[in-house]
Amino acid sequence: MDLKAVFSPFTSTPEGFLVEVNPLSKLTVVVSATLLSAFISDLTLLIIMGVIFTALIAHSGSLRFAAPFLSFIILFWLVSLAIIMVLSGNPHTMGFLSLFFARFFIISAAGLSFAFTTEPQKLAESLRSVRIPGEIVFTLTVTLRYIPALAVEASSIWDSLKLRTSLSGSSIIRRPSLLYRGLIIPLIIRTVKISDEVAIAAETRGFNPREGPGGSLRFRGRDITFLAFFTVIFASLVIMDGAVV
Amino acid sequence: MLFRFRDFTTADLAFTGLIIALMYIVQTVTILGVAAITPVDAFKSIASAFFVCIVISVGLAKVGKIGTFTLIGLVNGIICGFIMPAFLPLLPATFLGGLAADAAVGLTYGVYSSRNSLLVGCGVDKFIETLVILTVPFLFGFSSFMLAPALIIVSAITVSVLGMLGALVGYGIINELRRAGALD
Repeated sequence: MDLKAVFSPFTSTPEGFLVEVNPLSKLTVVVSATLLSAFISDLTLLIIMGVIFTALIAHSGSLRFAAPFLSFIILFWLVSLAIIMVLSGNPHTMGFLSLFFARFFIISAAGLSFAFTTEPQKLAESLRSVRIPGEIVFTLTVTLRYIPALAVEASSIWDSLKLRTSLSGSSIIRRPSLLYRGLIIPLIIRTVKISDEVAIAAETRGFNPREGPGGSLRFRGRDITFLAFFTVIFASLVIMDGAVV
Repeated sequence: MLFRFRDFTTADLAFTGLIIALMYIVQTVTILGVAAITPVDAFKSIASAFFVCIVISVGLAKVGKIGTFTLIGLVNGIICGFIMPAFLPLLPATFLGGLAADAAVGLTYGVYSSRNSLLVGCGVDKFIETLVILTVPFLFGFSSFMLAPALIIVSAITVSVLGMLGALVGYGIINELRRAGALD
């Protein structure tokens, strides 16, 4: 399994204009797009929204990583429509289904455009800047830091298990006791050891999660431009949706 | 007040952070298989409930404090809602699930230590989480013709039972690790 590809939002290096935008501005747009998609009832306008967020992902150079997520939704959209067309041909049901998948696509595309243009550590820093409790930010930072590291650990333990037992991956899965002894227990023991090391290292440096430094992210001109751009787009969509209805 | 985050030590937070990382890897690997069949997140949650609850129960048993499940739900929700798979409705689902589990265990057992407290915690969390996730599609235009309320309740109970089974296996691991001296 290519772990770098699977956990690409944690390991890829984002690029483009959006990287410099404050994560809080991007979060505002993602939440607004999610809420707006629930209210807009015109399929064409929803598709336009989806295209805008796909263009943002393409601009950040992450379309290759995001493509599997988005293409799955489109594939199931088309397959579901085909099945409904063959079974009933009811245009009312097909309309409902299209709206649902279009909204599903927008939520995923908006979220991915944020994920692929924001470094996980910047997200934690931005949460600290809005006075989210230090305990939550510290836990989030530890999690984000160790997801790729633990994935590699799990992969190594899995490889060594396969080597020791001379069985293929699928044969091991069919023997749960082997999986339990050979993968789950060593992985949990490794997690306990790493967490002890992290806690000791933090405490010996006098670290207190409640008194961590405040976030240094600020709103700049590009954030205002970014928010103004999406305000205009969203307002236009709402007006057009009203005109359509 | 049910809990305060200031009661958590640095060691508690570091362990919870790592348990969430492990849980995230487990659920990602599990749902990758299910993603080949469906893009709907609800089905992915059903598939990963058992394995995720094994990991969660280990985290709950080691930290023990009420509030751990809320912290797990919140951080996991931020990651699932904003980073990968970047599906925003997962944030309220995981957060509310964790909060409900903490409330249920806090009122009945007071702390995560016994086997039953872990079972109740995981069961309540998965029930509420599934209920919220499966209700979200209605807000986005999914017809009640396709997903009946009775089906939602049955799915939530199924996931809850799977979660409790996972917690049972997790409790076995905890006992084994305690006997081996690897866990306090």
